[in-house]
Amino acid sequence: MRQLLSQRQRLSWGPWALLAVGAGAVLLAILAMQPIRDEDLWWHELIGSEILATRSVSGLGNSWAPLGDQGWTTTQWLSEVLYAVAVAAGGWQAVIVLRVLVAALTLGGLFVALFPRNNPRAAVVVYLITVAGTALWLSRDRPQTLTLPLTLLLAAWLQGALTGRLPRWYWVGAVTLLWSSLHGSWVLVPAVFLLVTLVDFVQPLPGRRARAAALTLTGGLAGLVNPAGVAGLTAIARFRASTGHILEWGPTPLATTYGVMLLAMVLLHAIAWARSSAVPRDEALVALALIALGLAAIRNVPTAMILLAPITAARLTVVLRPAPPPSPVEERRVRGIATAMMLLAACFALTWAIVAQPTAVGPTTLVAKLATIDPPPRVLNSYELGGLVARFGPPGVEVAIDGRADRYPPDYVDRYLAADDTLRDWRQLLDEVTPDVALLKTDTALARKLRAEGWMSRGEADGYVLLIAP
Amino acid sequence: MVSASQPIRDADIWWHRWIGQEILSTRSVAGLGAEWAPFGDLTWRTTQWFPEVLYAWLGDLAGWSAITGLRVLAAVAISLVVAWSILPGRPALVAVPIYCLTLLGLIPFAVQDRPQTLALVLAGLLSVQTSRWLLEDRIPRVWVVLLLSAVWANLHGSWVLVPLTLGLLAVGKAFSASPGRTAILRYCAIVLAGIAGGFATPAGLSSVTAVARFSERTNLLTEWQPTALTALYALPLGLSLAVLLWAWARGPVVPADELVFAAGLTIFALLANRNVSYSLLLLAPVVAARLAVVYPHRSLVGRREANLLAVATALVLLVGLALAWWQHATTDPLALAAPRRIAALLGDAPEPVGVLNSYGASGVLLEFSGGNVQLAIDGRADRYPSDYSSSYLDAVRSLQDWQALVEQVVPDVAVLKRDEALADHLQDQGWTVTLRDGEYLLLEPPVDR
Repeated sequence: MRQLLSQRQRLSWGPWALLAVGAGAVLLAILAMQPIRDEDLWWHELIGSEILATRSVSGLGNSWAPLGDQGWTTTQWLSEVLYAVAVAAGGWQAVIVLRVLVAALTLGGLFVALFPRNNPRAAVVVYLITVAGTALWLSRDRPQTLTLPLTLLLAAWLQGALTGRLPRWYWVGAVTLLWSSLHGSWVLVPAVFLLVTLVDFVQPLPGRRARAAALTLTGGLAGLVNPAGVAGLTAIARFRASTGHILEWGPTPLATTYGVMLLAMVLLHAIAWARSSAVPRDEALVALALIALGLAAIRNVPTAMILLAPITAARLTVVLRPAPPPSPVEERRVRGIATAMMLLAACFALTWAIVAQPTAVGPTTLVAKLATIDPPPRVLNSYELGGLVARFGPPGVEVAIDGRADRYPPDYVDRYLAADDTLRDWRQLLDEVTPDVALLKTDTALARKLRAEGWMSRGEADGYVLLIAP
Repeated sequence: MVSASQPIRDADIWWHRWIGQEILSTRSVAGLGAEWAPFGDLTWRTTQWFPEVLYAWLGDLAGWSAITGLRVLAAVAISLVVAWSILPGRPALVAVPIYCLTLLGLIPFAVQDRPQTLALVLAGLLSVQTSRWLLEDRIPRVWVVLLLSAVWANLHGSWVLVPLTLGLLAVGKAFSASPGRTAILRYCAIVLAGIAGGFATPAGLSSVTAVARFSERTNLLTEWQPTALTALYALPLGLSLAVLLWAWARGPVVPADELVFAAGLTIFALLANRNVSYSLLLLAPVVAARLAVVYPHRSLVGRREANLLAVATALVLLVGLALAWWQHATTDPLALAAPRRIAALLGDAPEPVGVLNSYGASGVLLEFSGGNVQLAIDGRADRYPSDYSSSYLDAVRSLQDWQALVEQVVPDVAVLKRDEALADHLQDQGWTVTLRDGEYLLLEPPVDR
């Protein structure tokens, strides 16, 4: 196994590789045709513009969100600036182009990580499962997605660490620095090297422990050298405290596409372990830790799957019989078809992204109606609509809550969601927010209650209702 | 001790006891509970008549303490049967931690005052049979399977696990060992015996279709929701699976039947919360056996040391039993029963009171009003059409078509939780809160309604 992990082979272009390229090409084309679904993108872009204007990463978004922590510091400033620059340069189409580029980089990186060194049958199964498990995140325009190519790099480092090969400290430092500016998930870098340090106690390799510990320190320190400072390190704890009701921080439900894919990956791993003997302890512990990471929260699923993929493929390669190599003629033909497919998909995706007008998912027509209200209203909004209202509402509009969960005291988020769902203390919430209008899901208890209290409907769209206070 | 110190937590035990009393008086398992629950299927048939009769008989004989006493006995029986399936012949160093982990997953979460708890004892016996077949190739006898299935079917609808688990094992065996025709016929006979035994109940075919009926109404039942392996109740199973994966990784090649069996039970556990305890029980001997292959070390003890250990074990057991008895005697079994004060008030009414009630309050309202209620819904999820229960919950929780529900039920009062949207809204509609009982409110409609 160790020899296998350290052995880099030449990629043989057989039918399995073609299948993977074909699936990747189809996914790229589909991704380009998706509307903008991520409800947080709108405020990310607003925050990015504000950073560019103020040259500060603190005290942002107070003009449209008067409640919550006025000194809030963003932990993903570079992603937000990137989105703001993209939109300023090329409109919302540029966001789609960025999405396609990140997806292409991720899919290509995954292909390179899996195919050249593994049995192609093992590689294709793991590739397809990983792609299906991460497709949801690839379709979302959010800072976490921008870090997926970096996760692939971390996966390669982790796989190397299992054979005793560790990256140079300056690479780790540079990547962590970039990652910490893009998204709070940079803590994965020191966490992975800490894991390697710990598993070396049960499966020692010469010199690995000390170097992995040094890389843990390097990653930790590099992550702090960004404008958010220590706030970047404590972000996870803040989010955890504020996000009891936010779906993607909840445990991974296995009855979903990504849940089933994670389970399939675990099953593949289980089969590979069961059919091979004496798997090294470090590999077993690392894989179990990654499985636990994936199960712990929905948002960990793509990270866990990408980190697991090379380890799973390598272990399956040990178990499977070697595949016969394709003939040179077949290889040439397959390589040609694969290149053509990729080019075609890239052309289609980019053309579609540029030509088609991207649409936003959500009640944009109701948000547009806010402009007819004078003065600009304060909105009692569904949690997920904060960004949409702030971005597309009239200048001066104010939202009661937005997607920046760590900006609000945990009890405020709890009370807000409980009032919306079950009417618990809804009058106190209204007294606190003093809204002029409400933009809520049509079927929530609060929407029905406000109607009964005399709030007038100004329209319904996409499952939401706009209500004007009496 | 843990089991003995708990008051009654199960919201359904109250109506189980009433149904048991009705079975005893009518000698029928169909058309039960129609008097106090006028909505839903009036010909409803119970699939767990024996525990219900047992609860009724014990309650009449010695009160609620007898029912919680039965739970403690069930906990002891489960502990013993798990010990039987895990400990014999395996190194203590691996078998004891797995035994403790299994009990940790079963006793605090799955052992409650409900028919399923009694079924867990039989699941332990099934676990003994399946582990012998899987690990030692000792195929269960047909009459044992038939008996197990027949007894189980009279306790709880989960008897279908007998043919399902044995079928899973038969498939695994067929995969791994290419058995001959005779062996395959024997496998089929075992599975058929498991199915046939399940029909030996007064519920008949209804006990087979119960699972389908319940799974259509999962919106009412949190325990039918898919399992999250990181939730507290599922952590012991998650840890067991992690240990099994570790043992597979570190040990020699694993036979295909073990893979099929473990994968099947894992998927079964993930489908619904309520399946976790069964999977944990059935997997436990496999985990212990596989771990024993990787870590076969045994600690040898001398005769004198063994005697001392036996005495110490007996002492621990005696002290444990004494403490459990003391815990049981000093715990109020009704400490968590709510809303009892509201129920008692309704019980004083001159004639049965029509109640628009929270789903979880039905049993207590029935029991502590002395049956002087007509409930709009109760814990027998399979008794109500799924559209009735869905619209009921939507109205109570998010006010959807609440007027239609009130017009359909025409309640004399409403008993709702404070945090249910309808409770707040009815107050705005002129209903008055006449009693607050913990988290529940008793609401009476305006006089001019």
